[in-house]
Amino acid sequence: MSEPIRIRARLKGDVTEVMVLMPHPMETGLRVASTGIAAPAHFITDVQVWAGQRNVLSARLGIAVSRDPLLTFRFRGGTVGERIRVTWKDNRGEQRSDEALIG
Amino acid sequence: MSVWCAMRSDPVAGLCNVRQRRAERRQLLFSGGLSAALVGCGLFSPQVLWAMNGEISFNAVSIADALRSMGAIQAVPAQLILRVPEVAEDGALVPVSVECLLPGAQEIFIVVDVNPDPLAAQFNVPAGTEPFVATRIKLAGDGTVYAVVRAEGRIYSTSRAMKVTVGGCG
Repeated sequence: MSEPIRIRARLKGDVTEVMVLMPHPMETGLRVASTGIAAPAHFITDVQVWAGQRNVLSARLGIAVSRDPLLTFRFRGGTVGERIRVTWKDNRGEQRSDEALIG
Repeated sequence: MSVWCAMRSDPVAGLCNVRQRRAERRQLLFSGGLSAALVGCGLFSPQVLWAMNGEISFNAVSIADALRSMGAIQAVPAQLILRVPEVAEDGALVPVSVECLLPGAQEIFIVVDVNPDPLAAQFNVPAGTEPFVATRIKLAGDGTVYAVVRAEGRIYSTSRAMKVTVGGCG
């Protein structure tokens, strides 16, 4: 089971800044492990971020995104206490969803 | 793909030195990755790709050429801000941020010319979300990072060359 997504959302003026850290190996499939066998590709392909019912960001990631992807972005119209939900899916069909409140 | 298969079945290929084979493979991966990436993200129409297919399959097409051929406009630096370090010690962890001051930005792409799969990430920016994203990417070696933005149906790009002390492929 994957580790929980860490989410920090802060309202500054009328803009909410969201930082999302998704623990994930982001294995490219091109790296040869010490055994001499290429480590199979395992990486997040899709990320969705919702504020309440509103989609505030969707991203498609490739193998070039670093291990434990970190995303920072900002949106308008958030309120303190509103629920931020982040969902990711990877190339093996695994997925994970976590929530945090805007502070 | 057929070239790659032919290369594998060629008995002489076994005698080539490994480094050369790796370089060929990298180039093939690069060209396949580039076309797949650009078709995947919808930047390239299949017709354009078809027209360019020979070139894409057998030559390493530069991202700059690809962008030019799809009519990307070189953004004024103040309109599209790409922040990357000039020198990254660790190619596995390179901070990147893209900020767009053009009105109506809908999509942001981060593209790296030296990577096997050049398209690092694509972001859809719904109304209400600021056209700003920051993340961390891998760079296979010294190369150029491109920020590409689709705004009001037009494509804008900017780029920054950077050096990497240790590549992020291993």
